[in-house]
Amino acid sequence: MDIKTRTMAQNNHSDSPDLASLQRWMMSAITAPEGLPDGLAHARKTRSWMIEDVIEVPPGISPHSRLDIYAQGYWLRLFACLKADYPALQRLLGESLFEFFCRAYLSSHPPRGFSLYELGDGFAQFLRRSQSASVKAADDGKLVFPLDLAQIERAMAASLRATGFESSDFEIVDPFDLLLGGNIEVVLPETTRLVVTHHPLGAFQALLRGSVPAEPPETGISYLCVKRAHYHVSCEQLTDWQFYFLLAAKAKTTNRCLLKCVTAAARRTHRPLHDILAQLALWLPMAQADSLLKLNPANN
Amino acid sequence: MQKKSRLGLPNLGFGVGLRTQHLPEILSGGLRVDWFEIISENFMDNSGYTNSVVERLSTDIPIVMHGVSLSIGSASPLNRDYLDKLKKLAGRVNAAWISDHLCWTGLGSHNSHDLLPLPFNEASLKHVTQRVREVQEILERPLIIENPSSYVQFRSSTMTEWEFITELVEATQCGLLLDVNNVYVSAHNHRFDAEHYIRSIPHDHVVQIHLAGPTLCEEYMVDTHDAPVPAPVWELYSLAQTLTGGVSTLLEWDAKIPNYPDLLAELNKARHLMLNGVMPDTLTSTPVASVDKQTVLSTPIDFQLTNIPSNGYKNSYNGAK
Repeated sequence: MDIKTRTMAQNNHSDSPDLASLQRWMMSAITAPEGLPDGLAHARKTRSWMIEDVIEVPPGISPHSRLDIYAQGYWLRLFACLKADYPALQRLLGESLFEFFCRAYLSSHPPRGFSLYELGDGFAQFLRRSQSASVKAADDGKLVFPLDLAQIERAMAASLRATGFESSDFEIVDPFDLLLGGNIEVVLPETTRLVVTHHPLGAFQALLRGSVPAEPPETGISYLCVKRAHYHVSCEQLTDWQFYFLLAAKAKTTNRCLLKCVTAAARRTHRPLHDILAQLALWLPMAQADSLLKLNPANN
Repeated sequence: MQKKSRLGLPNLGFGVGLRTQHLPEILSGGLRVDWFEIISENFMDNSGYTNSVVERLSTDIPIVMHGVSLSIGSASPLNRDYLDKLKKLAGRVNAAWISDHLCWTGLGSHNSHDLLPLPFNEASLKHVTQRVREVQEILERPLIIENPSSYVQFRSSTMTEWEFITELVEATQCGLLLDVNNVYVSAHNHRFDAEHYIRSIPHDHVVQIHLAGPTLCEEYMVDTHDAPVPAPVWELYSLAQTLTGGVSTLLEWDAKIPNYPDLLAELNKARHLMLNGVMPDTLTSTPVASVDKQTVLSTPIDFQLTNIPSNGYKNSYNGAK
């Protein structure tokens, strides 16, 4: 019998913890935001075990240092995931401030899914909610800039994996059919994402391309669209009527008939309906070619 | 009845883990491996570029699915939604087999995204056995279980990892993915004899071997998958191949990922070793990587995070091998 086997054979405890209790104890210990000592203190609230009662390590080795590999790894891994989803935001905020927000987010939104891609789903929204009071108090737009950037990055990350139009064949509808009043349905793929920001697209581009802008960002409400064509994700600025047209088409509760979308856009932008229809006839072929949307002749 | 080696599954030869950053080189320069292993979770709920490439690759080269979130040892119920998606993905990529780790990754809905160790005792064996059977029924194929690296053991363990694995295999007829690097890491951390571990498991159930490079951090070894395979791991690999009679080899490199030719050069060391039966000097002289402990991450996730290579979408796959 070798040393290891002998040690194991001696561990025939009749009072062994059941698997669920042991796993609950370990999860509490290694996932505490303040680190392993706090995690162990928290774990002791439900089970009075000391670490030495549970963990076995070779003689002379600290069980704390070994369990801490899992505790440190838990946070490092999740930070790495959020950094991968929000690289421009991390560049803007700097590592320590970014990690501060990550820790706050993860403390209230621990990973729930089997995929790491879901982890950052709520981060942009969390930042907006947690900073809403500060944003209202400030009036120079600086505080809202990172929140907008986070929204754009989340939309791009989601668009990368969503179902697009790459493998579906569809015909580009002749714009003159629109003017003739054909009954046409507007369909947006999951890859098309709409974002309203308080800065123009140009203010975000340096950060999205990997650098940090020297100039403070320009301000002004902007309508942006993240889209994917031939698996290439990009972001473009829209006019207000284009944005509200797409927004109406994306809303699940409304009829996605083209004319209803146009009506919604006219109402939101206070533009004449015929004005939007005329511009739409020029824009829709490009929007279809860019996989921003597709038009289906609806069955009457 | 005579038992079939490798559960009747083929020896696929020498493969690498398919990593997104290598796709441009693979698409332009050819596959240059016998098979690929994909991380299952990366391709579930994914309709992006990498997914489309893998589906196309699967018509030309065997694909093995390797998971990190099955959580076969968790006390929480099995996730049926996950298993359904796993099965569908296996059909989509015509998976040669499906593997995951002998571990638990979370409890309830909280997923640690780490490969957490199990206590090895009768109760946990019964629990894991039942779940492996259930998973095999759902997937309608044998599950291939990998031994993970670990940094702690539990006082409630009453058997060794290799004893646990042997009993699990006997009870479920599952396959084994023997990670010789993980054996090396755990042997260092828990002070057992790695060679004894490899000699003790049921060799006819070993379907695949993982090779990787760990990192020594002060007194403990971490499974970093970010360095060349060191000499002691090559020795364990050679022993395992002798004992199993030859099974599929997969090189894992998941952080500080080298370019594709360098990755292939590392894989070719395994090919050379199997072909010539002797350890060349380049293998016997490769040291174990070592760093300051603050800088390392066990179970790295770089390979799970890179979504798309720059220009990757512009390449067209020509099927050249």
